[in-house]
Amino acid sequence: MATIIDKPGESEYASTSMSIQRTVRQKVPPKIGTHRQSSRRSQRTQNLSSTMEIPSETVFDGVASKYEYFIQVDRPGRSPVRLRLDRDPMVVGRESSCDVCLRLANVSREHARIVFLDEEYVLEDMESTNGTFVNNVRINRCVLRDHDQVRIGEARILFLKRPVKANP
Amino acid sequence: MRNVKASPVYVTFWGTRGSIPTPGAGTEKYGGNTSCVSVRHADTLVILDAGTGLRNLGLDLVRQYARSTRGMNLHLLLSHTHWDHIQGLPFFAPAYIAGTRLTVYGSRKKGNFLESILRGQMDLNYFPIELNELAADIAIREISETKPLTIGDFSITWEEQVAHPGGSVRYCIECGKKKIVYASDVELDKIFPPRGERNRANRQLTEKYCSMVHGADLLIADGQYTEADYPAKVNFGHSSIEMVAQIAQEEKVKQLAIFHHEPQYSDATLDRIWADLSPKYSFASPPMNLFWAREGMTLAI
Repeated sequence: MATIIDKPGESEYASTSMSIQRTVRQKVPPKIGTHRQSSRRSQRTQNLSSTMEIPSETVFDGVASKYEYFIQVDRPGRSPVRLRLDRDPMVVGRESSCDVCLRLANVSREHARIVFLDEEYVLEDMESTNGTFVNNVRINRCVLRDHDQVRIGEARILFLKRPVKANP
Repeated sequence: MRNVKASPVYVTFWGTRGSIPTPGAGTEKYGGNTSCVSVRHADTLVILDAGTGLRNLGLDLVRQYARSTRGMNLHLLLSHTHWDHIQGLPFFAPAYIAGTRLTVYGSRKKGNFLESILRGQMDLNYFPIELNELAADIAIREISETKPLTIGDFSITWEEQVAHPGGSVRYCIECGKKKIVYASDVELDKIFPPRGERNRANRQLTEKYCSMVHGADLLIADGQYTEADYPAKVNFGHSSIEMVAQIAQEEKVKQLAIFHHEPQYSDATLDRIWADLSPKYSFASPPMNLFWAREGMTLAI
């Protein structure tokens, strides 16, 4: 950004990429030149480096991927509901004790569950009568990916992966 | 008492990519590991090919058997020995555990070379541990086309596939009334019309192929290229998706898992091809479920 690189005495640095090239060049010991020149150059490098520094905590915080996962449950004649996957496992079925209760035709009492395993969400059929489908394929077990469409009885469930929004 | 033969056969895809592993965000949905499929019924487990997907299967097996006092008894059927079908073997954790019994089956056409090929990829020039240093009891067997193999409740037959450089083998696994065919690494476009020549040799090959896949509950089939991309890949030993889908439909296959995905095809590309092609077969009579084999997916057949 212009406000960062336009410091007094450093206005000749037109862009960040240019300044990085110069920094690298200056770090190589000059073959020819006086001690005075060399000293001025290292002073510049020092100043420039300080403008580019990112606090270590920020780097570490930014490195770890931060995603959150949702399911969007769509039932006939009802508005879609979006639920955050915040428990493990998450059981889907007709029983009121299920985490996602679907009182619909062709849904077994405990029909399927979503478990978090090896950093991934996995959908497992719980020996349901009418099957669990991912993108129209009847599965016993399937690692879920963004925008997979799950079918359980008459319900459609969309699996969504979203980056966590940064705090304002 | 539970009827063992009526219980499902579980088919899991551990590696679905062809030719070379393709890690990365663009391939995470269908997977980047190379060919490996497990077929399980009750206590019997058969592994089809040992591409890089075998590594994750090995880790899963070690977890499952952690509390068991019995050793693992595993059967690995190799279609052939190209890299993308054997590269996972040196990283197969159960092979490092004493008490594991691993029997590897492969084509007799390789002569006595099957063992030397598998030994070769674990030569010290390529890998730090040699085959004979592994703790498991490993047997390498050549198979013959005339004698079916019985492993647990599975009856397994096989046929040589000549339309692949160096040859390959396809397997048919039957369990009760269920039939699963694994036919990867074959260039069907070379033997089936309209591209394949109409001659006696090709007629025999196509008849054998059709007879094996006929009525399969699940056909796992090579479909590396689209019809549009195939002409630039003739003689590479792989089929066009449209060709294999057409044959499967005619042979009344119930589910067709397209397998050995082209490394250049991203998830988005595969999704697009599936969306274009799948409805034609879903609404056909009889309907056939056409889908892309996907790493981390288990089907109950």
